[in-house]
Amino acid sequence: MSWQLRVVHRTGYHYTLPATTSYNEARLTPRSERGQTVVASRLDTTPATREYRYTDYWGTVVSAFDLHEPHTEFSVVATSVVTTSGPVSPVRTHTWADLYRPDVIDAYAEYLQPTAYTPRDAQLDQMAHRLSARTSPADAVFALTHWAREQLTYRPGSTGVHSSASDAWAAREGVCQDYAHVALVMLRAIGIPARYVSGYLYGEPRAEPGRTVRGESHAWVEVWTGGWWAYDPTNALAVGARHVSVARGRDYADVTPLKGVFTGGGTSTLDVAVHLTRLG
Amino acid sequence: MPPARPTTHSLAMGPHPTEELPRATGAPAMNDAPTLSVGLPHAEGLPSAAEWERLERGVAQRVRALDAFLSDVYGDTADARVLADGVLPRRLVTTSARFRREAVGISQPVRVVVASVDVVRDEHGTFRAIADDLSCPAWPAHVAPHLLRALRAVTRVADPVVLALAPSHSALARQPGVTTVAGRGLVCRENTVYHDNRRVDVLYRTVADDLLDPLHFQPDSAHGVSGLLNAARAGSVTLANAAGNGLGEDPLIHRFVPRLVEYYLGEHPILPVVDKETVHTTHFLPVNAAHQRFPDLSTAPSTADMSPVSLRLFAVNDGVSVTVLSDAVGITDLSTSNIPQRGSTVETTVLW
Repeated sequence: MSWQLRVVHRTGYHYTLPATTSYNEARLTPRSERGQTVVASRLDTTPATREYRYTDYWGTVVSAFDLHEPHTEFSVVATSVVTTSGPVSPVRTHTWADLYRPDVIDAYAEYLQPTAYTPRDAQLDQMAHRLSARTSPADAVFALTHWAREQLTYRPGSTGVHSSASDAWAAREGVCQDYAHVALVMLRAIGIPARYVSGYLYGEPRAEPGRTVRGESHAWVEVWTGGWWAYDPTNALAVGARHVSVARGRDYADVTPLKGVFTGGGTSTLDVAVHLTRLG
Repeated sequence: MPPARPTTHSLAMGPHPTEELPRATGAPAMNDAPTLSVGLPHAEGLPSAAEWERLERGVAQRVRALDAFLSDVYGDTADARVLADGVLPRRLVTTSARFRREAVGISQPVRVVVASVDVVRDEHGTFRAIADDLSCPAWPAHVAPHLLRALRAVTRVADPVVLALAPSHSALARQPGVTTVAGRGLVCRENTVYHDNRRVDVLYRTVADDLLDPLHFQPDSAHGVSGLLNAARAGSVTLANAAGNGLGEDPLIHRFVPRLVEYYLGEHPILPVVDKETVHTTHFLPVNAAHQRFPDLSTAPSTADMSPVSLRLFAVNDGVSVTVLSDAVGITDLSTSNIPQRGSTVETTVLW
């Protein structure tokens, strides 16, 4: 099954006093890869800036731009049209013994280590081992993420972008970013290389072409069990035609959609709006 | 020496004790310098002229190999050749706290413009590398002119503007045409670095990676310059030393450097290393004579500097040749007369 989606991701900064300079990096541009083809993508800023594009260590397209005139408003609009397909099937080629081979551990070491957002957690570690005791690695991915999903309550605003998996786990609530981080902690605890994916999800499974919905940035995980495959732990959902992936990394810090530093500006507020349109 | 025990102060300021050592004077004389072998009582540790020559070649080779390694790992977002070929375990790079993924994709002709290499003597008298500083070594004054010459050479720009980015005054600024600036003295505009509206081509920096660019590293750094990393990525400014070089100082990678020499340079490694396995079993000999000359001072903490077991060498790399210099502070006794001067060399220029 194939969809075509248009994503319009608008971020607005508002400063109480004029900001004099601002340096920014956006990770908002999807790449063509297995499961999706980028038809068009662009990034516009107001005030206008000159975009510098590069590809980072993770293979993510980065747009960098800086501003040197006083401004109290600054907006970044990323627009892309992507043809998607799916759903993704789990890779079942590797056994636990295969995953624990030294060459596999060496190759995927950075996806097995704890990070600031995904620190080790004794309780999650113990549950991950218990739940995966009699499963294949691929089925363990389902067992772990389904269990965590039952434990957590989805509550927008309950956590922030700086919350770690431990914060969300302690509160037993969070948003997609937290579901993904908790999943990563558990998966890495049992030796499954796992990484964080940022992107978008079109919320309505049976939408007619032409329909626009208000969405949000989304996050899910990819795991390596002989090959990489994606899974959406927040929705217990195979990643497919409704997902558009943008960036990958060890955790949220590697994929931050928009980050910047500015001088002046007093205090700043931020609003984000994502609109997704099914084109076909 | 006078019968009265000299104070540390007079030791440091007075005539150098090694002036009394038998040594060559005038023209370089390789054979006059003491040679070291196990158990010989005259083994004061002074490198012989032949040993110095070997040390220079070894240090230059080591720095070239580390530069090639860092260029391989950071120069391109495609997989590093050295990792794809399995020359060293991939996890040593990907799990190193000193690996800066933000710097991957920054390609510059020379990544290590100035380095220090510490060497020790093992019980067999062999010099071994024990630590490197590829980020911002604190070099003695006589390194400055060589460094400035190299900084002017590591960019494609003719007559480049070279600046020192440092929290406080850099000794490099004593060189003609070099100014020391703090982070706030520079501004990046669309990937070009400016100082007083003048375009900066080469930036020698003593600011640590973590503080270098608030956009990529610590966002509240007052010492860095926002946008600097992307200016380097775009190729408009050359950072010396390059961002992320600390990876090459990682103790776990240290032991693989001889292998990197073989891999990148196709040469036989000259300078062995002290690695994790041998560091505890190695009996280090002092590298300079002071310890033997004044044994009665050897227990005073303040004399520790007078009988070092490690020797610091500095390497300046302009991309064509590597110049190896001594640490004038620690081994002032090694005057030019003791070191063979070579008229022309391919890879190593000997300048003391």
